[in-house]
Amino acid sequence: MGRMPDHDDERPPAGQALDAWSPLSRGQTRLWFLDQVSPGRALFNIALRYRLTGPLDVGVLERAVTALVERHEVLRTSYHLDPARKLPRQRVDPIDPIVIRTRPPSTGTADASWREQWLGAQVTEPFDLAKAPMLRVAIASESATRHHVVLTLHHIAADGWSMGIVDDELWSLYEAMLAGEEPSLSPLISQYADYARWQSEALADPSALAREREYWLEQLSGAPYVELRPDRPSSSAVSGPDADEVTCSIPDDLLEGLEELARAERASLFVVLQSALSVLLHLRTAEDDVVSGTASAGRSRSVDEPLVGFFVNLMVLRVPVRGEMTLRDVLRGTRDTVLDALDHQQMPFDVLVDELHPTRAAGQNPLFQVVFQLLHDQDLARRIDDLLVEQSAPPGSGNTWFDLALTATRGEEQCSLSLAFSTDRFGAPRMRRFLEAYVDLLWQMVGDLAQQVRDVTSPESRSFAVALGSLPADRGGRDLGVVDAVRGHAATTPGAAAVRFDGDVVSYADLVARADQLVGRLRAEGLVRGDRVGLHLPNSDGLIVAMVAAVLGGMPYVPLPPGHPPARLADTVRLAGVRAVVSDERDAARLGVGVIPTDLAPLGSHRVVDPVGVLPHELAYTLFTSGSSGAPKGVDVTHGNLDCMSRSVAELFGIGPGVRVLQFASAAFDVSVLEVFVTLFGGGVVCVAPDDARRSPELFAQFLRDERIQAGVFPPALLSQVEPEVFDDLTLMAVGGEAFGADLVNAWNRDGLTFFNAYGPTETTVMSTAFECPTREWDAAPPIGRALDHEYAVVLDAHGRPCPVGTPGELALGGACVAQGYLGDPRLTAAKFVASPFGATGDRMYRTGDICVVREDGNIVYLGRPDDQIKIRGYRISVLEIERALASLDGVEQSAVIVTDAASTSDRRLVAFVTTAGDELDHVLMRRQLATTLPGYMVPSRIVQLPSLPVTTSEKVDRRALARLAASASLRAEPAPAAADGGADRLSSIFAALLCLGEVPRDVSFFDLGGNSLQLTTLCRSIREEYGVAIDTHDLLVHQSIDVIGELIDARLDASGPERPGAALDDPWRVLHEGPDATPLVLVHDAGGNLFAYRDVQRAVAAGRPVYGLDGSHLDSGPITIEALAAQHLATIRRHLGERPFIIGGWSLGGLVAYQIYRLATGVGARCERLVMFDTEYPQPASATGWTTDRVFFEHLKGSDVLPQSARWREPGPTVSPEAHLVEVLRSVGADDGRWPAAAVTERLARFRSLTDAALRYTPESVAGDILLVHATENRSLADQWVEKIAGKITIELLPGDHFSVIRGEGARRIGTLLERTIDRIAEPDARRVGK
Amino acid sequence: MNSFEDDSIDFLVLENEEGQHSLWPVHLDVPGGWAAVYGPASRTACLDCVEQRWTDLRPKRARTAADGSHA
Repeated sequence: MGRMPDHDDERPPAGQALDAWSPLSRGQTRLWFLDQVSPGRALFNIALRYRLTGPLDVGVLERAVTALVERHEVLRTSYHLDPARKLPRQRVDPIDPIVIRTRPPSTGTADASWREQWLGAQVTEPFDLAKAPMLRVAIASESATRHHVVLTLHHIAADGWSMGIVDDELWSLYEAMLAGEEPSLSPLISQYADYARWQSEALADPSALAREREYWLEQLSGAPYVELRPDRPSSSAVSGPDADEVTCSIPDDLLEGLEELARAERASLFVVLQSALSVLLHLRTAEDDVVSGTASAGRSRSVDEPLVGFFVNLMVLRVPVRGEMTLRDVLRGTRDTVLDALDHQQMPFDVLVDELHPTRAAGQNPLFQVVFQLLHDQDLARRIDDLLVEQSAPPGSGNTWFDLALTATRGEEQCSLSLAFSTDRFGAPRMRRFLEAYVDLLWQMVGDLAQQVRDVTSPESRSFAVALGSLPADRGGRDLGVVDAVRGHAATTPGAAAVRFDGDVVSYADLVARADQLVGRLRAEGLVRGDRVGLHLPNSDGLIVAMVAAVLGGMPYVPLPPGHPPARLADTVRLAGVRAVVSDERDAARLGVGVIPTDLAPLGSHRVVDPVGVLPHELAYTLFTSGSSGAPKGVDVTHGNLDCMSRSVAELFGIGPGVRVLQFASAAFDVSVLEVFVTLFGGGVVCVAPDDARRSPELFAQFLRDERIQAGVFPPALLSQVEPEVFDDLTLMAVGGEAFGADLVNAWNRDGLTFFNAYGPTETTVMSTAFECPTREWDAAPPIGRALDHEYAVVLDAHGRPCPVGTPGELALGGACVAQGYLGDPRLTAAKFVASPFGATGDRMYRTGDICVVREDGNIVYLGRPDDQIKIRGYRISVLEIERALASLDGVEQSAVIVTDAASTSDRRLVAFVTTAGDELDHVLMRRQLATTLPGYMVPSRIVQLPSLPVTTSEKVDRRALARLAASASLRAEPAPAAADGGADRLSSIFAALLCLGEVPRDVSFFDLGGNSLQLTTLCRSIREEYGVAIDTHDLLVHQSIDVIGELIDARLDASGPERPGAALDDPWRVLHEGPDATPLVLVHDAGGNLFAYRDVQRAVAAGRPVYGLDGSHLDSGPITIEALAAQHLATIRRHLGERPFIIGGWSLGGLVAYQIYRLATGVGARCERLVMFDTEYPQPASATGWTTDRVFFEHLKGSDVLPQSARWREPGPTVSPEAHLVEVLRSVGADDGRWPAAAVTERLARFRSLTDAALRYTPESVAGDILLVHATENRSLADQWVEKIAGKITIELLPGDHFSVIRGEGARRIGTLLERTIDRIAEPDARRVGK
Repeated sequence: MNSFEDDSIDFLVLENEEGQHSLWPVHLDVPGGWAAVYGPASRTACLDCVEQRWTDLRPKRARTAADGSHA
């Protein structure tokens, strides 16, 4: 959880007039907001570094820096939240002279690296925006005459331009001061705050920037969010990413060429370099609309030019780049875009963001993630007397706000490039190649500007083509094939088991004999080689015999599974030209061709041995797959394909004689081809699973055990339902047919088992790539690996060229397993099986349509179908990635995510379906967990729990069924969890009020509804006020819609209740009892800092009378005075009650604060009608009891029922810290139920201490007005002290009980009655006067 | 848009020695062992041409072998 905003601001700074406050500029506001969300990071630190040679006077330098900070007020400005307007504001603070941090020289050889580390730490140390100055200086000395100076500034106070001013003025001041002269800097007639005020006023005018607004809104309408696919899983962790950079220089001749090009095209060098970046981003993201950012100086007024400050503005550049455009087209497009953007640069980026309210994720820059800038570097070395001052590259801040920042620095002679990148997202090798490709592209631009974008190549794609060209040309045709292998086994080990099914065992000899018999019978029916034969058989030994027969006899088989609709089977028969069907089914005759039963006459009568073996190009089988259009298409697979796959996989899986292999897949599903022919090729045993094992996970497990299965290919959908126990015999598992997540591997993979992720389409013969997963904990889905022997896999970009590592594209597969094509469909065959530039001459490759990416190590990662790569509000989203993240959550067994259909991408919603082990899932927890691995826009808006996911016949999740379910009325009408208690309705009101909307949809993100970052801060506060739960802005970046925030609030309330110990609630206002009409009672927290003591009193007050509380749990342990606290509280009261009259009251220490509020209120004319103090002691130095504060705190907890009455105080030993002792005592008395972690105790004790200390220093001054003192009978003497010391009208009421019980139970009830009397008197002022 | 699926660009029809045909975006170099037999033309025109020319999807040597075995 993020740090709460600093609240020091609510204490009026000593000696500050109210007009010392200024608004922030829009840019500053953004930085302030980002600092609130990710505090404690150096994301926005900027630095200057010098190498000094010669004598340095550190004292003079300190005076020079101090003078600089005095001169530029922005350097000594601090930033605070204005509690009234809920906006940040800034204040110029007086500061002490700047002290330079120094690191003296030391002698060790390793000193240089220590020095660099120390200097680096100076830059990475965060600034506290609430504490000026925003500049610090550090010096590390090598010797008396060699020094390194680093100046670090926060971006909120400076920009690149400012650094030039700082550099210039600092050394001028130093030089003058050193010489004892008056510095000759021309006086500043304006300060940054003047600019901020000017901007704020200018923007307040609705007609201001109308031209700019119109331009940008049109320019950026529907702009995509362009980002490179990260190497590492994206994350919404708001901690800013760590950064690294790669650098290179542009060779002189290239630079010359580029400048020549710029001249010829009447463009700047910036435009040339920017256009090249756009082309490269297009090639690596496949976006036709390349959106990136750059900086403009933002100093349009000459008065701002000499100022240090944050003026720089971000400009969005949206450049169209399409394959058919020439590089010249892109360059000219970029030039026009840049000119237009500059012409409209007055528009602050942050205003633009608020206007466009783009979808945003925590930790990501809105609108763009890639920035480019061109800097001009003047190589300035100064000499001040004997001191040589040279600038050098400052240490990196180690952080970057952008994914990628490309900076070109143009020096006098040369130009260098540096690419800073987020190491959270990218690896350095890829970034180095990115930079190389960029320079390569610059060469191509210089070489031929008329070249089309799609003809641009990268060094990576060129080297890739060469690597593939050297593949062995072996087509595999001469090696042993399936037919020879099976006949060989039958000859050499005739009795060895080949097939096991339902208790029967078929030996290799029997298998071949039965198959030959069937071939003979088919021939007798008039079929010849090449004729197709239908197999209308259930999974059984008969099916295996028939498959083998078809292969031995050279008659390609066509599976016609009995479960499929007869009409569809009849279509297949007709389409494939099936000549005969092998079947034992009664309805087989309906298929329209001759039927041959498997139960044939004994061996011998039809025995035919083919004189010629089958040839590689002859067909082995035709499998029908359903295409994306839904129409089935037949894939013709040859013997050459089958032989090659069988050989490769048998070797890879180690399938040798006797190995028992699972046969589970339906014959219509290509995995069955692998199960049967790989096994028989190797001499193993095909173990056919019975039908009941197909239906019950338990029976399936039983089957694996009973048959002692050693190897198999398992569909993920099945595997996720089977208890992942150890099957002793199982040594090889391949999982494939559908993508799966890390949890599946983790559940099953173990030592002694080889686990493969197998991948392949039917069109390249079952399996084309595989990855052997090492036994370790996977946190992401394993890759699909590399191509099998005699095959190759290549990922192609949109223009048909190999993608570089890390860039997603379409996977194409080539080599010996590429099938013949689609039965009877030359059009589709020619479009999908295309000429290959990578394999042997005349080779073809199959374009899978699957989106994949190559990893740094050469393994391929499957990302999904193009349909899965959808866009929601400009963001590219991978459904698969979300599913994997879901599946990795505890309790989730299976998951599927679908996108609801919507005409506009901004109306699309993600719906997740999950199955579990049986438990009801905690959706809030799930979302929070998802948000740790997924960006917010990828967290589904709805999670639906199902008993099981619907599957298709090939055991794949039936997404169409899920889409129907998501669209069905029943699901839409499912009540949102938070709506049940009305919680979400109050939330709706907050949303509606904040966003000025009538009706607020519950599942739409705050930002999509038009909310901006500042409103988010307000939303956060409103929720805290309304519900009294600790919620911070980070929570709201993760949970953005009413439904989701509602769930979060419920969860927080359930977890801790509104009075969570240690919860930081920064607005102290609490509604204890609502009622609109009567004069409200406002109660002040006690020394415990909370309102727990009033739980009975608030109920005892008459219904309809509002009771509010001022909570103190936001107070930190710092010193405070009762006066300051009262001033803060009075401000809070007036903020909430306005000019309404009220009664102030408090128990114990709370009474003291109430007293001071009462005094203050009468002074400023607030209508505080009456003061009630419950058992409040007049402040005095030493407590009569002689207890330590720790002891008092302990008794306070006990008296407040926080600790049991049986709890006894024990004095601490001499060496124990009071806090540690207290924690120990609390634990010992049984209070250790999780409420008292040491940190919470320490925090509360510290608060208790600072409040009680404040009370001791407080001297109540007399006040004119009515005071009601309520005391416990035993504390009557306390009342006497007040009467002695305070002049005024004091009424005393004594109630039975002690200090604690006086406001509880019966005491509270009597207080209620008493208050009603008191309040009645206020309501009737005349009566009071009469009573006097 | 993937070039192979892009209706807005021109294509070639390629043929190899086995008589197999391939749709081919005109901007990509023609791979070795393939020759353009039609185009540049629209994607649809190229596919029409493929349908006309490529009536037997078997590679030439398979056709020859089958003819031989029947003879």
